[in-house]
Amino acid sequence: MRWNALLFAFLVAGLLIPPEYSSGEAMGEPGYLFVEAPSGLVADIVGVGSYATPVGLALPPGNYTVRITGNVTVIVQVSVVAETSTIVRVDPNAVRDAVSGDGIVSIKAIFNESANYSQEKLHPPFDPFAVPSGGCGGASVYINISKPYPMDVEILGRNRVYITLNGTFMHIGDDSDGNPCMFYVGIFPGGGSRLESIRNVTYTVPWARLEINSTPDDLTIYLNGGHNRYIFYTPMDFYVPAIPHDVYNVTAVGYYGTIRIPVIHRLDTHTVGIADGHYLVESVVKVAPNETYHVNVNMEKIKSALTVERKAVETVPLEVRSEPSNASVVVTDGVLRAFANTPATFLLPRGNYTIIAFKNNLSAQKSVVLGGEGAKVFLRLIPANATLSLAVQPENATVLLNGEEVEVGNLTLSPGRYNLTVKAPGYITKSLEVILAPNEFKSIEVSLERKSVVEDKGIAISPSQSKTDDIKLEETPGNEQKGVFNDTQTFTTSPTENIPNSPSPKEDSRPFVIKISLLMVTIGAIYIALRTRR
Amino acid sequence: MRLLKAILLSTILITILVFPIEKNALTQPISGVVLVGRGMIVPSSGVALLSSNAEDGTEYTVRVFDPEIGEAILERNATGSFRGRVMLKHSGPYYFSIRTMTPVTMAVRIINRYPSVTVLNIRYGLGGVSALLLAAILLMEGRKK
Amino acid sequence: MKIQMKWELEDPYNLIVFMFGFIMLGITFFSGLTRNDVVFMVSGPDEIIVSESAKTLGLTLPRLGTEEYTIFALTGALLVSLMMRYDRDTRVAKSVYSLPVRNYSVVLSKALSAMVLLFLASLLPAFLAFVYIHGDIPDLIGRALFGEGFLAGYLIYWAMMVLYVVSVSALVAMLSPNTFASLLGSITLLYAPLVLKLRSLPPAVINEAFFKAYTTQFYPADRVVTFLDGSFYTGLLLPVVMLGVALILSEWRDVS
Repeated sequence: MRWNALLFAFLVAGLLIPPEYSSGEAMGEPGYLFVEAPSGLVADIVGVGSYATPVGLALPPGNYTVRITGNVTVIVQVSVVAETSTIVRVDPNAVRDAVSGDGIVSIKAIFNESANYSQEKLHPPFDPFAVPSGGCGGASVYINISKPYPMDVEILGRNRVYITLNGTFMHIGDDSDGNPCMFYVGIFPGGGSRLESIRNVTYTVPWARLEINSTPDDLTIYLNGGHNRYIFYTPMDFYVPAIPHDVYNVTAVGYYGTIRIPVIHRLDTHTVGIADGHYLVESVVKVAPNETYHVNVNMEKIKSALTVERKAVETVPLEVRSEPSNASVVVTDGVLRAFANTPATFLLPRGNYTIIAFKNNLSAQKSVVLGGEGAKVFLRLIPANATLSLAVQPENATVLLNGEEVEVGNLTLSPGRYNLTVKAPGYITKSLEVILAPNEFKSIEVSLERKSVVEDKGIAISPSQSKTDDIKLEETPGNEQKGVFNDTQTFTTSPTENIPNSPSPKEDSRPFVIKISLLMVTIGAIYIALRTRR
Repeated sequence: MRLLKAILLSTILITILVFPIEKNALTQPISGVVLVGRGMIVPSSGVALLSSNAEDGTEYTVRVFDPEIGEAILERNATGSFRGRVMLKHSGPYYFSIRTMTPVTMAVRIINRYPSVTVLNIRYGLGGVSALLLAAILLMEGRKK
Repeated sequence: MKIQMKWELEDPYNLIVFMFGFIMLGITFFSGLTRNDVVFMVSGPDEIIVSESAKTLGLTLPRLGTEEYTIFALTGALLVSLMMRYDRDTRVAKSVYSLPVRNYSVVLSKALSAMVLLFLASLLPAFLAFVYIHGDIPDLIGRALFGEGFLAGYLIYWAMMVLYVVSVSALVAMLSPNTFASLLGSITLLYAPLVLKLRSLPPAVINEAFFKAYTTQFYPADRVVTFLDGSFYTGLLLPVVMLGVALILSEWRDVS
C-alpha cells in the first residue's frame, strides 16, 4: 500500500515538473529551408535576406517567414527543424489560377504552420437568417471589423446580408409597405452597433454585391478581417458598401434632429479571405456601386500550389579555415547556401559544393566534394575582382547595391555577398542577395512587376485560438464622426400593432391548408377502416 | 375524485420540494458583461452590483430598465469608472444598458438572491390551499363511510 | 366510452404513474428555471425592450429538454403500457372487452385517458414551476401568454408531445406480447431519436418548430401557424397515423 502511494506520488510529481523545451541543444545543428518556386521570383526570408528562387538555406532551427511578392503575394510561415529539410513549394501562377472572379485586384495566399484560420462553425439553436419580416431592421450578428473602418453585419435574410459601415447613412432593405428603411449607422468594434432610423437623407451609401464561393464549400470567410461564427461560411453573398470617392457634408433628419456627417471616406475595396486550416487566401476586390462581383477560391488547387514538405537529411561536417581568418564564407551547391565566418564547421548533406571566402578585397574559391565522413578545407585569400552585369526592367529603375545607388551596366566589385535592391515608382520593389565568387562574371536581369492599384490596408487576420470568445474588446473606435452621435438608440422594429397586414404572405398558408386537409383525410381513412371492419 | 386528490397531493409535494432545490441554486451569483445593452432573466430577486471602468473623462450613462413596471430603476451619468448597486425586487427580465460614444464595458453581478415575498406568498398560498382541499376531501370521504 | 375513460382516470395504478410524472417533471422544470440565466439583446425604445422581454420570458416556459423528455417519455410509456397491456396480461381485459362496445373504442378511450393524464402531468407542473419562480411579474407573464401568443402555442406544444408519446406507446403496446415488452419497446422507440440525435423526429422537431416560430414571427397567429407548419409531419400526421394503426390492430388482434 505504501509502495503504491509512493509510486503514485512519484507519478504526480513527474506530471508537475514543467516540460523542458530543448532549444539550446540543437544550436549547432542547422535545419534546411528550401524554397522551390519558378525561377525569376524572389523569396524574402524575413530576418535572413532575399534570394532568387529556387533557394536553400542552412538556418538555425526556428520559425521563419517566407514572402514571395508579386501581384500574387505568397506568405509562408514555417518552422525549420534541425537536421531536417523543410521544402516549401510555391507556384504563384497556380495560386492565381485557383482564385477566379471579377474585380479582384490582388491576391495573397498565406500558409501558416502554427495557425488555424478555420473557425469552428457554431450550430446555433436558431437560424441566424430567419429574421422577422415586416418592419425595418433585421438581425444584427456580431462581427469584428475595425479596419479600414468599423463595420458590422445586418441580416435581412439568407441572401440579404448587409455589411454596415460606421458613421454613414445606409439604406437597408424596405419595409412591408415598400418604403425604404434608412438608418444612421454607428458601430463600436467589439461593442456592437446601433441603427437609428432617419429620413430626408442627402446621401446613402451605395451597395455592391459580393458573391463568395469556394471548392469545397463551408470554408471560413473573413471579410475585411472580420468573421462571424454563425454565418460566414462559403457559399455566401453579401451586400457591401461601395463608395467610389469621399463624400462631404451629408445630412439626414434623425430622431433627435438633424445629423450631419462631415465626410464619408472612399471605400471601394474589400478584402475577402477564405480559410481552411493553415491556409488563408485573401483577395482584394474593387467594387463599384450596384455591381455584382464574384470571388471563387479553389482551395484544393491552392493546397497543391503551396505545399510544405519535411525530409530528414543526413549531414556530414565540412570544416573551413582560412588565412587570414575571420573571413566570411559562403558554401553553396547552387541552391543550398550556408554562411559563416572562418574558422567554421558546416553540417551539410553530401554533395558537390563551392566554397567562397572573402574579407575586404581578398577572396578565395574552392570546389569540394563532400562525402564519406566529411571534409576539411583551407583557403588562402588573395586579392581578386568580380564583375556584375545588371539589366533592369523598367529602365528608369533605381538600383541599390548594399544600400548605395549604382549605375546599371557592368560593375566591377570585390567578391562577396551583396544585397541588390531594384525599385521604381509604380512597381513592386524587388531585392535579392547576390554572391560573387572571385573572378566571376555574373549577369543578372531584374524585371519589376507593376504594383496593383490597391495598397495593403494592413488587415490582419488572427488565427482562431482554441476557445476565443466571440466578443473581444477593441480600444479604438476609429470613429471620426464621434461628435454627431446622439445618445439614444432607436431601432425601428415596428411594434406589433402598427402594421395592419400580417407579413407572412398568403402563399405561405396554402401548403398549411393542404397539410390540414391531409390530416383530416388520414383521420377519415382510419375512421372508415374501423367502421367497415367486422 | 382520485385524480383531483392526486393532483392536490403532487402540488403539495412539489411545493415542499422546491425550497431545498432553490436554496442550492440561488447560492451561486449570476454574472455577466454588458457592452451596449443586455437583457437578463433572473430566477429570483436579488441585488445587482454594477461596475464599469472607462478612461478618465469618458462620459456615459448606466441604465437598468425594469420591463415589469416599465420604468428605469437606475439611470446614472458616470464619468470614468462607476460602481453601483441596485435592488432587483422581483424575478424576471431586466435590461442593463450603457449609453456612450465610446465602448464601455460594465460587469454585472447579482448576489443576495432569494425569492421575493410575492413568490413565497404564492407558494405558501397554493401549497396551503391544496393541503386544505385535500384534507377536506379526505374528511368528507371518511365521513361517508 | 365516457365511463371507460372515467374508470381509467380513477385507476390507482395510473394515478401513481401520473403522480410520479407530475412531481418529477415539476422538480425538473423548477430546477431548470432556477438555473436559467437567459440573456437577450435588443436595441430600441423602452416599448421594444418590454415586448422583447415578454417574448424572451415566454421562451423560458418549461419545455422538454433531454432530462425532462426522459421523464416525460417514461411516464407516457408506463401509462399506456399499464392501460393497454396490463389488463390483458391479468385477464381483467376479458371482462372489459366483452362489453357490447367495439374493441377500438375501448383502446381509443384508453389512449385518450392516457393523453389526458400525461397532458395534465406535464402542463400543470410546468405552470406551477413557472409561477413558483416568476409569480411576481404578473404583467409580463400576461403579456407573454396573451400579447405574444405563447399560451396557444404552448398548449399545442404539449398536446403534440403527448400525442406523439401516447401514439408511439399505443402502437407498441398493440404489437407486443406483454406489459414488459410493451414498456421496453416504447421506451426504446421514444428514446431512439434522442440517442441517435435525429433532428427530424420529435422531440427535436417540435422543440425546434416552437422556437423558430416564436423567434422569427411577429404576430401570435403567424406564430401558431408557423409552429404547426414546422412540426406537422412528424409532430401531428405521424402520431395520428400510428394511433390509427394501433386502433386497427386492436380490432384484428385477439384480446388476451
